[in-house]
Amino acid sequence: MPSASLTVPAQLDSLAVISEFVNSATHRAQMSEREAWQVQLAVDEAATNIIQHAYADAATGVIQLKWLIEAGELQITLVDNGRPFDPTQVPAPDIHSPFEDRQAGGLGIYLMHKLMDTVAFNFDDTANTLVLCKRFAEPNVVAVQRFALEGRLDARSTASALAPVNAALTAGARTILIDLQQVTFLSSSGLRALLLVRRELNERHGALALCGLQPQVEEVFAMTGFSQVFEIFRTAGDALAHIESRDRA
Amino acid sequence: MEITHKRMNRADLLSISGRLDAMHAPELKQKIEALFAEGRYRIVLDLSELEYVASPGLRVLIEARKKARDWKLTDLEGGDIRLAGLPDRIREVFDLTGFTSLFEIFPNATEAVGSF
Repeated sequence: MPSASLTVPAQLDSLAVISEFVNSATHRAQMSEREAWQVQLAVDEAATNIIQHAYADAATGVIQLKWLIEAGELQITLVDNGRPFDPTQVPAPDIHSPFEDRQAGGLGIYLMHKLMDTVAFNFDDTANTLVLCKRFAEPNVVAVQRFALEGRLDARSTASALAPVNAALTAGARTILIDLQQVTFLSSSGLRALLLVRRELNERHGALALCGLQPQVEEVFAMTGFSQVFEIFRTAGDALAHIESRDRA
Repeated sequence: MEITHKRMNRADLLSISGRLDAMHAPELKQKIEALFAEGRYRIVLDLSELEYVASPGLRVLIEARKKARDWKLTDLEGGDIRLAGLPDRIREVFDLTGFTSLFEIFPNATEAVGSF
């Protein structure tokens, strides 16, 4: 799961750095421009509250931020050591009251709730923890991406042979089928590269399938015990049928 | 954030660009209060170049309008803060927070100044 952390002084100067940090998360999640702006504003409001209320503008504290992307959701956590301040307990402003009666406060928290899917607060003896979550529409990815490799997969050739596969991973692929029918030799380097692809796909709840192994290649999988680790099929058709049946399940 | 000021007979025009967040809201508040101190209570805020607004900025707007409206020339005429040229994202925040109905909002600065 992609994630990152940042610790900044609890000062208004830090808002620009926090904005950059949030930007890296929304970019990684490939959020729409509007979704990204909503997350930006919510986190900005949360950080402003911490600086102005939890630390009451004292120049000594820090804010620890973390973002995490998992299963179509961006989760952003803000931790501070200021006085306990529970934004979820602040009454919502009456946004329909006439101008004369309209109160100026409480809008930041109200916006956080409006802009995010969930806002959760927790505090213990030492820290306030605020968790903001935003679900996002995941970018369309082709259901199964197929690659046919050929020749030797050894220390020299593996990186370039797997370059298209890794490019697909970077672009957000979730299910990959690698056809090894034309692969004549597999070394430990090649095996390791395939394991890395598998691990990356597992982390994003995707899958890697292999097919068309020649006997000498199949033997490498068997000797190393990786026959049990990878999903291996005789033909590409078998692999696709299996993936389809699983997706329907 | 940048604020430029233009004085006209009918009103003072403040054009605000960039980010109106907690970091920059106090500067806008100061500019508006400096106008109040000169007895200028009719102010147009041109927001057409504003990229971002957060709640501290909204707070400055509502508090400033309350003060401006406390100044009365006659029972019918007095001070006000009027807004012009809201970009889409800013309007979205105004809609979410109910600010759209709290202010008189004009398509551009010329119409807003002319409304006084």
